[in-house]
Amino acid sequence: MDGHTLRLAAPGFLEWRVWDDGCVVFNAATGQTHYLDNFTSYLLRLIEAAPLTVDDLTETVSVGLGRERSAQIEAQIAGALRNFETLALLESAR
Amino acid sequence: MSEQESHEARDEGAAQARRAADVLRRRLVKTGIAAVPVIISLQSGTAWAISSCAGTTNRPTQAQLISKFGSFTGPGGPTAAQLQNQQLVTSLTGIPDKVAGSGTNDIESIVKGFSGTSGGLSYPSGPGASVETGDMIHLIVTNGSCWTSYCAGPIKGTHDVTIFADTTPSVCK
Repeated sequence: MDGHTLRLAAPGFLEWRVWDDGCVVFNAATGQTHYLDNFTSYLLRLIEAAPLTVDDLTETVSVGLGRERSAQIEAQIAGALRNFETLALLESAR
Repeated sequence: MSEQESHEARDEGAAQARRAADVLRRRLVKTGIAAVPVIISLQSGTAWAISSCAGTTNRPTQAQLISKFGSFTGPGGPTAAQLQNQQLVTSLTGIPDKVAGSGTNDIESIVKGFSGTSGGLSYPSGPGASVETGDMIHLIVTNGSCWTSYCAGPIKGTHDVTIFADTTPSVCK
């Protein structure tokens, strides 16, 4: 999946509400509402800003948070991305 | 919308997302990342709320999602006038009292739509309109001193509505 490009499944259909400890996002394309913590909100916002590969996303997150790229952060991102795809928030394509 | 307008809207959306991402990034640098990132799909009967009380900073957290919801019938009734000021549920769990020593948190009223005003909230359709499947409604919860607004909908039937709270109580879409 690393080389796949991630993009929102329904660009322009997300409505966000922001709190200190997370966000609620309403996907008008599916009618579903999701609570995301700050980290998963961050991931989705980065993808919303522009399509990017998993590798680029991981690099951006690691650098942005001032961390070494690690297996842990890769696993956290991979898990979140799987959930996003299951919830039809994003899609990946070669 | 012309192609150019479409491009401009898309670019503005991307810019907004980038700004929001940066806010989150700075927050995460301070707080760190949870061991297991959280994504929760809000089911019918769960709710978010933002208090209207001036100066209130004690917003409900994710842990205070509301799981109970009152019952009401689907298409054809009851009317907004009948629902207004009716206590449709005996209690909601998870909403903290905003004012120490105040009363319990009960639903004060459910009003369909967005016309007219009541307590500073706008409603598009006034009393007398029926609450129907597909409607958006406002839930007003009071603790006697402050009120909290939930934007709820669309109504799908008895016991079945998705709540989507708005940060601006007077706007519910």
